[in-house]
Amino acid sequence: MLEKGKISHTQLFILVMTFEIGTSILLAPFLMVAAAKQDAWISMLIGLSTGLLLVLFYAALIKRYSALTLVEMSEQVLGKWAGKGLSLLFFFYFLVLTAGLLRIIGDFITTHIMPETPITAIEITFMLIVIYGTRLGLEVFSRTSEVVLPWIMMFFFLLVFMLLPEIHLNNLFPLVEDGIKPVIKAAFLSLGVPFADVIVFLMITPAVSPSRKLGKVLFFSTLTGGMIIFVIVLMAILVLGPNQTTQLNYPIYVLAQRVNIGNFIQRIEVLAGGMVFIAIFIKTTISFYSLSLSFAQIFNLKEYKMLSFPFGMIVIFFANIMSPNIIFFQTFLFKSWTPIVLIFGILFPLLLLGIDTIKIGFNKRRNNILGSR
Amino acid sequence: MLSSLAIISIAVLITLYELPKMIKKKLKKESVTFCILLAIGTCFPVLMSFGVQIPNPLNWIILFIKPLTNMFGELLK
Repeated sequence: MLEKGKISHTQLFILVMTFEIGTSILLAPFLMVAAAKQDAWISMLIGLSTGLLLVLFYAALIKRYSALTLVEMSEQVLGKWAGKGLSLLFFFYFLVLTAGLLRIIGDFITTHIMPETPITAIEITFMLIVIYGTRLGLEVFSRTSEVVLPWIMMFFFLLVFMLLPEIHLNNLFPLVEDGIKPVIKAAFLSLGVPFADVIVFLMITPAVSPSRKLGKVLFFSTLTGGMIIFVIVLMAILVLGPNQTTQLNYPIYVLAQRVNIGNFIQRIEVLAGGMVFIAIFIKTTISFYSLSLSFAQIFNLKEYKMLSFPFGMIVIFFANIMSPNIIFFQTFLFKSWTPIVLIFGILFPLLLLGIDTIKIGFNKRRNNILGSR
Repeated sequence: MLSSLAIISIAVLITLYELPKMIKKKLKKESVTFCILLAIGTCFPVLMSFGVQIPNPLNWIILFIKPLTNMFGELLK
């Protein structure tokens, strides 16, 4: 066993929740409002219910092999070589995920907060913290997430309550103007940005100390995280309106700029920025941790912590090369990302579960035949 | 030129920090993996700093996933 740390149910709850709000708080309003206009909140609800079903499906997979990570699980189910091949694919998925997250936080900071700083400098600084978190181990950054949770919740509630006077209810109408298709399309996009990514947690669940009732924890944390994104998407539509939300790259920041209570409480956008930093830090650390751990398990290494510096360099390089400009990256997110996540988040786990069920059934039948003789 | 020197010196510093610990623990396979990964992580940025065009792996992924993208695009048009 590579990971010796143990985390509790509460910590898993917080990790999953922050993982889900991590990037989606930045990207979901933009992506979904671009697809469904003022009906994005309906598609968010559809996406959330699909996400909850998905989580129950992951829970079924976790229940069968609660002591094994995704890599060990695929090796157990598919045999040595096919399992390692599948795990290698998952490793590349984690690499693209981590580099994408790093790129998103870099783009966010260079667009809104520090426009003169080169993006690589921000990426290197951010990556150093992530490497530090990974080297300290799972237990430590789970505890960190417990410490920072009140801040995330405080910033979130402050933002929502202070925006209440700015709401324009007629931004929501007309309801379902262009038929149901754009709504479904936006719901489909919502699977790609937060919900099907939860497959990463199959690398972490073996470290959760009572391994019973994990499904319940995953279910409720997805529900909480999904509701937070839902509120943010709804706020973006209500305050900024669908047209302006589509034109902005990161609506949440501009949303916070709109806060103005009695010409006295103004410009709290850095609070929203803080919430985004913390959530993305936790999300990036989880995916970077899964990246290092999956590599170490594929190649049967005895340690994973010493891989963090080389992987840090590779991830920074990859983040630089993967997106030559923001238009390319957004087109990628809009068109190709959801199919990729669906392959890794639904098709492969379904394959594992199916093959495992067939294997169990086959063994049972063979035992029955042997027993009847 | 300068940036490639900086990248190489960072890689050397990382090696000096990590490798002695691993050698002390007699982790042979781990040290080899570490060196290979670090070499990959150093070579590409150095090449990039000399102005070599490195193909974007995302383009391959996009090309590979294209049938699925088109299918969903048709389905949700």
